[in-house]
Amino acid sequence: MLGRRGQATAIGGVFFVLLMVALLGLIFYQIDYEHRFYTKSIEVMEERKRAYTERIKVSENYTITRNYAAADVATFTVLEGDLVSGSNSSLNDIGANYIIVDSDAVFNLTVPGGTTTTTSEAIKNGEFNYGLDYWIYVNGVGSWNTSTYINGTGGLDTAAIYSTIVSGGAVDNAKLYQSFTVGENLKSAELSFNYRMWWELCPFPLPREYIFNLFVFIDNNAIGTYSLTCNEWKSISAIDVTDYLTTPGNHTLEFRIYIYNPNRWLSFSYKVWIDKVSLKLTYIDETAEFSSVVYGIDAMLDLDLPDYYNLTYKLLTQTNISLILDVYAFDEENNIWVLYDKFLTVANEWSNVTLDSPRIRIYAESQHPFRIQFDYLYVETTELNPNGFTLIIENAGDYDLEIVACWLKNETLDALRYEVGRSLLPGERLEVNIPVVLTKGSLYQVRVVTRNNVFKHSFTP
Amino acid sequence: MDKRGQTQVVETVLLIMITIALWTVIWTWFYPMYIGAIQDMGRYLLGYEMALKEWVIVEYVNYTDSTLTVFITNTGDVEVEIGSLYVNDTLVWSDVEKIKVDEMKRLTVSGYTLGGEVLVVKACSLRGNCWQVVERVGP
Repeated sequence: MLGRRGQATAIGGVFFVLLMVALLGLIFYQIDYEHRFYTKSIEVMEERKRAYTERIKVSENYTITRNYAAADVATFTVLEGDLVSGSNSSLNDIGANYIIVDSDAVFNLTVPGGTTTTTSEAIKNGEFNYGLDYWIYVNGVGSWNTSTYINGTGGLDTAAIYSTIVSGGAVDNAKLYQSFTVGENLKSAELSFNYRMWWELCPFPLPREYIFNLFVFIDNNAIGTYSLTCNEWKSISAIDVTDYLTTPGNHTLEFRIYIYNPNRWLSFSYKVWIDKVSLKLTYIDETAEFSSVVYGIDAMLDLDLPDYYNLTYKLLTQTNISLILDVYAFDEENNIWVLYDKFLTVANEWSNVTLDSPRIRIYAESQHPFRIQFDYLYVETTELNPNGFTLIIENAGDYDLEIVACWLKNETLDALRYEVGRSLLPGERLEVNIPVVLTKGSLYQVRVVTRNNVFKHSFTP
Repeated sequence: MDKRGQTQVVETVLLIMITIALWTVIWTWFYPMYIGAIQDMGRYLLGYEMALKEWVIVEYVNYTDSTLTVFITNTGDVEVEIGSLYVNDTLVWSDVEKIKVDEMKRLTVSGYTLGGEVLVVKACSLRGNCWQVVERVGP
């Protein structure tokens, strides 16, 4: 059998085993306890996280839509025009009875005849900004062209220029002209232009035998003769040429240059600039006397309605000619009629005149007598619901939530609690009918209680 | 078997019996402590679980005629015992009010003088959880 040492080892072993079993049991229980502890904690934290991300949208609907019979709320009055037939009750139904209004002559318009004057420019491209377009030119020894120069204000301008060199004993002729048309009833015509004439020996004047002239003609009638200016521009303004243009039709304005160099041996250089050529033609226009009768209809529609948020009504209307209907709405605050809208009607076709003001005037006028028929008035209002309101709750979060209750309160109302107890999936809407008659203009506070939060919302009906 | 062999068997049996007896004595002393510790841990875990499952919503606070009324709904998973109510960190109510799951109760504080329009109302349960809301109330 066992020795003493073996017995001690066996006993110790049994003790050890029993002790280890007990310790391991404790350790495993501790591990299990910790596991359950943390599992529960994490579960609750997850649940709380969902609670903190709860989001809802709260809105309310406290209005209803109502329709009224025209005869109950509308008063139709003809202010201008003749009421042929019909009354307020004619607007109740479509067809059968109409309100028919014929136009009256609202005023006679007579415009006396008279005269007016109009002025127009006859010369095209008088500034030579488009080169020598519209102008016809005849070159002599030299040639016509355009060139720029510095005007009196320091800016650049363009002018027509004739540049020539006339040899000893020679003559040079050149022309620049333009045709224009004169109409009937010419009252006046005024010619103006700028020019500069230069020769090689400037500033010395021309000797007696030398000729250097610029002639201006209208239809070969000499208007003026101009000579050397050297470096100076001269302005010829407002020459009255009416007498040369009394005949309607085509005429010609001509600038003619004549140069004679009597020196037998020397040639000289000559230059002529012309700019800002203008011929103002003033005509007399006579207007005949004009008279016209204007016919019109002015009708007023007054709706007596209870307090509302929104009003829409349609007036089924027909006109026997195409008309512009001006609709004026009454501005209660400023006590004045304000143009609200305009409608263009199609002759002999029914159309709806859509309006949203309770007191309107329909005005139309024409040079011809006309008739307007009103058939049916459709009246629709949006009013405060007299039986309560609907609270609309939408789950705008990512998790489902449970609506526990709703509270309603305002300054004159003790807080009222409505049990709900409904779960809402994400995106789902819940409508809670609350049978409390709201007061218009009063602030209401709503609380929506979920299992985790209280959401507040306020509105003023 | 001779005499010597019988003696050794008896010795061995006696030693095992003595060992088991000693272990029994030790186990008898250790086991109640062991069980007690396990039960304490279980109770603590249960309490912790219960505390985690507590949740109330302070739905509304009303103040009328020197009376402050706090509407509390138990939205948790276990019954809650509200033990104290604080307004602006001052204890104004202390009692035990049991609120069952999904039940709403109103706690009334009479003779309360309003210090300001904005109140920080805190309700605490006997398990140590507190829920706080900020409310604007009128006198």
